[in-house]
Amino acid sequence: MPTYQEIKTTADERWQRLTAGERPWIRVGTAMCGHAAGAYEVIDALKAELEKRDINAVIDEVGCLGICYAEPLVDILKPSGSRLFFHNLTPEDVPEIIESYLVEDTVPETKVLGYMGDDPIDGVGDMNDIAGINRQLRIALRNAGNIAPNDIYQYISQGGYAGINKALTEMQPDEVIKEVTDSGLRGRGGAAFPTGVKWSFMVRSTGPKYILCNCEEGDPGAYNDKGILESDPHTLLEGLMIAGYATGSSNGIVFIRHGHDGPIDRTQEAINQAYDLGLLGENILGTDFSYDIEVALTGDSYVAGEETALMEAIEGKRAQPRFRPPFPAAFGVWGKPSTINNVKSLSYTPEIISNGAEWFSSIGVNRSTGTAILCLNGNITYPGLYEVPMGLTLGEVVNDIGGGVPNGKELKLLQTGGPLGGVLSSESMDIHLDFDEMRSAGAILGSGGIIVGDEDVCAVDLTRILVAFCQYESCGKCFPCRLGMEHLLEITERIARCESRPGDLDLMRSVGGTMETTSLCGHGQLGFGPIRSAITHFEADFISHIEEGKCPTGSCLGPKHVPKNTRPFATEFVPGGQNG
Amino acid sequence: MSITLSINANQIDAPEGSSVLDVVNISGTYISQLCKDPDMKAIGACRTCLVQIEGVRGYPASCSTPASDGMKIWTDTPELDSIRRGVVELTLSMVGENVQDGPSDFQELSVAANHYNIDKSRWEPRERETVDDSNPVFNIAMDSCILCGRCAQACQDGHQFIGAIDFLGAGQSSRIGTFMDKPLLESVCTTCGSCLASCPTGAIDVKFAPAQEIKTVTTTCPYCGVGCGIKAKVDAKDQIIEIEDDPDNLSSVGMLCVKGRFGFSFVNHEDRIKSPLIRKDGELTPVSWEEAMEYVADNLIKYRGDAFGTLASAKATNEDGYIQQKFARLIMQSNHIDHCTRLCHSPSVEAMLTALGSGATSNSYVDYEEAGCLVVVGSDATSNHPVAASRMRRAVVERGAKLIVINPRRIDMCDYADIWLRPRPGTDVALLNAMAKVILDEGLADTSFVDDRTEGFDEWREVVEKYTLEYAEGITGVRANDIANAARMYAQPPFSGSCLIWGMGVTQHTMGTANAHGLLNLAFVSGQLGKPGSGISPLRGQNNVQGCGDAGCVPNSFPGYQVLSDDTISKFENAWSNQPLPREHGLVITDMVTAMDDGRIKSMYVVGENPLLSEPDLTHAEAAFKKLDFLVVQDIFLHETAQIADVVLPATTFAEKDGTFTNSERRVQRVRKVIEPVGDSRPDWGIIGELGRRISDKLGLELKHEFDYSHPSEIFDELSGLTPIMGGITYDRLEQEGGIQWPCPTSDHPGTRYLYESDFPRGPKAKFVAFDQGPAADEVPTERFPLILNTGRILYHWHGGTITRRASNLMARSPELELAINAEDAQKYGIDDGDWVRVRSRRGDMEARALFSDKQAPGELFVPFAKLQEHAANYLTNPALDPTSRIPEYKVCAVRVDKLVNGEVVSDGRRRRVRV
Repeated sequence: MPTYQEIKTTADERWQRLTAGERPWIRVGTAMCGHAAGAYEVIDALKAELEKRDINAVIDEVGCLGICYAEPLVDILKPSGSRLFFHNLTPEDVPEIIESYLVEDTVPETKVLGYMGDDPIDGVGDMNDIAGINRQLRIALRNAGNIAPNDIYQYISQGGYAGINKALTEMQPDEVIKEVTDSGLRGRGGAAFPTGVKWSFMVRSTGPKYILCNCEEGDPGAYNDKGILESDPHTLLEGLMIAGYATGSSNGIVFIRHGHDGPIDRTQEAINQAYDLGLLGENILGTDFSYDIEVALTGDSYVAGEETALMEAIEGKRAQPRFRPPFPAAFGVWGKPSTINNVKSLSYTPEIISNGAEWFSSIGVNRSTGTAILCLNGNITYPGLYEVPMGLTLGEVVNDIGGGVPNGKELKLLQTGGPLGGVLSSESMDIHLDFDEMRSAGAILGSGGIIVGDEDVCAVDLTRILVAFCQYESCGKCFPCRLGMEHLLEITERIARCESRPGDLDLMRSVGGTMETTSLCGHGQLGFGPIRSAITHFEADFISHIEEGKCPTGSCLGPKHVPKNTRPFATEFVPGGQNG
Repeated sequence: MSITLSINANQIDAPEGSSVLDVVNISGTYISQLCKDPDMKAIGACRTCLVQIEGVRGYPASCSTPASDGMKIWTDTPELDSIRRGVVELTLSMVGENVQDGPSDFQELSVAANHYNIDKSRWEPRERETVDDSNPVFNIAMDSCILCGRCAQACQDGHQFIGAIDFLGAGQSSRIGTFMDKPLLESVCTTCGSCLASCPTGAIDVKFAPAQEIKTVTTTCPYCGVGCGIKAKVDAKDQIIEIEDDPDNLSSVGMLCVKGRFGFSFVNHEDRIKSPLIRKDGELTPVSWEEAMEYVADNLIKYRGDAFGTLASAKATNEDGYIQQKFARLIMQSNHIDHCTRLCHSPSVEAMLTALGSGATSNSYVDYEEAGCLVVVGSDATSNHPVAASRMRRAVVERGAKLIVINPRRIDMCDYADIWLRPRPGTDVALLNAMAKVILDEGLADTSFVDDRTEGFDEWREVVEKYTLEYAEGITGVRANDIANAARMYAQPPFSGSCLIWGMGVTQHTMGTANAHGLLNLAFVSGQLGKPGSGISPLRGQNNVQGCGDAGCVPNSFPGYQVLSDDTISKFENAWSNQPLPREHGLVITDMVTAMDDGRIKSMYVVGENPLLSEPDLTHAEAAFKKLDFLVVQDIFLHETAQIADVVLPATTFAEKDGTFTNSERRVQRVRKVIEPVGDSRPDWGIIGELGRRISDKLGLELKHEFDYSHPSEIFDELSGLTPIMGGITYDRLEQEGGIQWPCPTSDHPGTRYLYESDFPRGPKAKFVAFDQGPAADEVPTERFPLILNTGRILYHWHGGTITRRASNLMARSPELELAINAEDAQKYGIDDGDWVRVRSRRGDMEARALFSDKQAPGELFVPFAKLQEHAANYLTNPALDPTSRIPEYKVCAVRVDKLVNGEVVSDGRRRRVRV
């Protein structure tokens, strides 16, 4: 079994060959943003062109640099130089780029975005001048877009697995927990519970224990967990190992939603590579620590991301939440003590262990340390996956990084924290990315989704979409959530049709209150939140429907974008068993 | 230990481990609890049992909150009331428009709505799914369903472990349904009715609502040997209208199967024999009891001694059995008394008597649940002992026990198995010997158990030595590696001990006793006996087959397995008015048939048995019975044997008498009279007692007082007084404590969960008995009879079907005899799925519906031995006997199968040449 140092030496040599060897290194963004934009067609074109011209180059599929709007994003690193980035490439662009940059050694005319590196390239701007690059502070996503997720050596060459090596060789488990606690890291799944404290609940129990990593990520408009797994799965594995070592667990389970093939495949491949190098399995890196990681898949269910429903799903049952107590730390998956952490939370820990709690806690603001990993989309000029320090204002995010609302429209609202989050008006631009400040503003940072709505968005229409989603995704177990969502949708639908009845808004508040106080899990407890904030901030939209019988923007009258089925892989189903 | 807490400022004592809801219920305070079944775990879904607890934030659901000492709980604050009303009102919107006029009878939901004065929901009712009425016994009506989830819980983990129904869909399309959304009848549903029993709104309900009950009687199920507790509801017409489970019963813990819950209508069936019948001019003619009793007494007198034989009923009570053997021995001076165990577990009993000195199950169902490994051999427990099977599944699912199934058929338990061994029929000895050799070779034997508590080890070891894995693989067809893994798993389970559980697949072979010894030897060599979570369990088929043997209805021993010897004979002579008793062992049932045939037995008194359906080679058995001079049959229906009797006496069913049954785990349980006897029928103990008194008078024996009982409890007292293993059991104790497991020698003895903790009935040491594998079966396939027919039972019919054929709910579920045939074989013989076929053996034929099934290996057929539409498997079966136990080889006979069209055979039954 090689030591960490031996592995690292190999990794460094390989990195050296990649970056300063004979061959150019071409990296293509193939996270789902790139994939959707046509990255694989571009790769095919690149391969064909290189073959045609008999050019020996390395092509790697890498993750997402954050500026999704520029995908397919391709960069070429020639031996001893800087990376030259091309944006929004199509297969048709490829011959010209290869011809010009690799054959003729001149910077092409079109689709050049900028250079990245110490050596400027003539006539090309610095990538760092782009707000979407320079306002980012990437910790969990530090390698995303830079390394190939399917090459463990590239990860190690960038300092990967140094954190777990340090923990195993220099720290006791309780010191690891203390380090994570002192860093102020709070859970990025939405609840913002201190991660180190959560881990400490596990220490008391003995016997088999599990660390579960939640990548259900069923929020529409959220892709940061998947982004990490697609771009740099090893950082998650390392985080899982650190959590396992700290809590005395024997197993880690990465729980990914069925259908997210990219993250699933890349995570599984990363696990296989880690086993091959002795970074997983028995006596990791020659220490007493043994640890196994596997991928578990769920069916398409939003509630499967709820921690107890997730455990049910891992056990092979229908993903419905359990009641608490008993809490997972005492009675988790298979009845064994378990801790559930979000992908993002775990992915910070290798850097926290490597660089220390103080380094991490110096980033951010108040009790929100470190960075926020944002999925910025909707009516925004530069949608993307941005990791920024906590404490930025929403205005900085939307206007500086996102480039504001396009097409000269006015900003109307932000929907943050996923469908269980909240709705904020355009007057909220001074609110800081801070768990507590966001919560007191009636929204949550949640898992980091920010959907921007312009002046054409009607708050009633948005509400209808949110309620329809929550209704459809209610697991059906507890009465208030299943029935409350159903009737909330019924009321919202009739308001949207301008057929509301007197007292409908009060009725919504009443049933919403029942749901909040009585529901079994967060889905029902939080599901009314965004509706409440929509009614609060955009009462005028509702009043217009109710009293004037008209939709202020007309969007309620247009084609309905209500999700009937948020599960692309589910078959159409007819109630009453007429399928058979 | 108890805890004290306050509910609405009233002090309440409750047992430790209670939930807050339990305490609220103890206090008598009403609180709605729509999803919590009293007998099942909390689900936490309905959110209407909310309470406030001092020092606890919010409004926790009381069902899922553990109660602790000193808690202060409120159930009816104004906030709670408002919140709870909100949820109940939402729930009312589930059941549709009826609510607008005040909720009508949605059972527990209506009670809640009325209690909280909600007569109307503000919410629009929505369209609901259609009724699933595919099951012939009950419907699932989604328009009355509130999706509480109780039924799914009852069907699944934590209760029955069947998994036929669950939530489907999500959000407002949530509903109860089956896998792939098929009708219930096409699912794995076993119609056990646990869903129906737990439904709080009546959404799952029987097809026709039963009449109003006027009383409920707790008694014991009359079907298999599991011994489930039932609560029979009776209407004003003195008819049983509904059966409910009994959560307090220690053997069934609130579970029932389809037969127990829905198979009761035979009790009031029109076919019940309502008066005594005497054959006059060739016809069975109704007569008075007086005439019948005189006639029987006058005739039986002629056959006292060895010319008289009697069959006791494993369906009747211990008291009935005791009286019958007393009558046979004391009045008729004959030891020719036997019962159906001869046709099921006699090899087990013989082997256990030889090796251990007692013929009973050594452990309890609770040992299955605590075991680390269960080995189920030749038993389709899911069909034949459904509730025991549920407890096995609980062990596997909830506790992670290993399960090994040994069976040539792919039975349903295979779905839960870690290892399934599929030996060729009749090769179990080789398989078990090879497993033993693995245990020996790999040092997995429990050497201290072998050294201290067994004998005969060396001789046995010599025999098993030659059963190498390769040798066994050649004989059994089971892969060597699987045999080895099974042996390892059994000998060293991951936790606790290992249980060996077996059924007729082990015993009904010419090697039956050898098979049973093979199992016992495995238990001995690995020491899996005499400790919790281990043991040996022959699963008993009839409700009281254990008790019938316990009561002495066997040809070689008195009650409690007191073997005929000078000492025991004098003991009973002394107890029974110092009359001499016959001293020679009597004949077993299969030998009695031979003795009838050759004229040694001239008169038979058959009680609650139907040998002309249950004997092998029925044509031969029928001829033998017809040779009898005088045949008395005492039963509830005019079955095949009754139809050729000289006298038929109408007996009562379990529902019409008091007594006790003893189940598979040796638990003696009360049977209580539910209704008055149907027609002119009388309980068996009453009829036999009367015969005893009359014959005593006629012969001047002065034994009349020996048959004079006013209540079965007096018989039980006499039985327990003479039977040390039951010496401490009384009706009073059974009333207070529920069932008690023998041995229970004294009144302060709690009963015995498992046997053989320190020694064995035969002495300090158990005995290894070695057997070699013999011929796999008496009959092997030939060109003319190319297939092997296996017989057994199915869930919906019970044994010969005399009873279940008259239970309408069961007939609705399974009206035809179904022959399971592998599709490969079917293709060879030109048979399509659903074809009507004729099956023939050297002895007879039968007709059945062929259904494709991959449960059998190619070359093997399976048919239940129930008689349906006049067709029965035992016309075909082979009367070849196991030499030791005299059990027939029901499990293997060579047959051919032909397709029938309009009742005519259309194929020659031979293998077709298949062009390749």
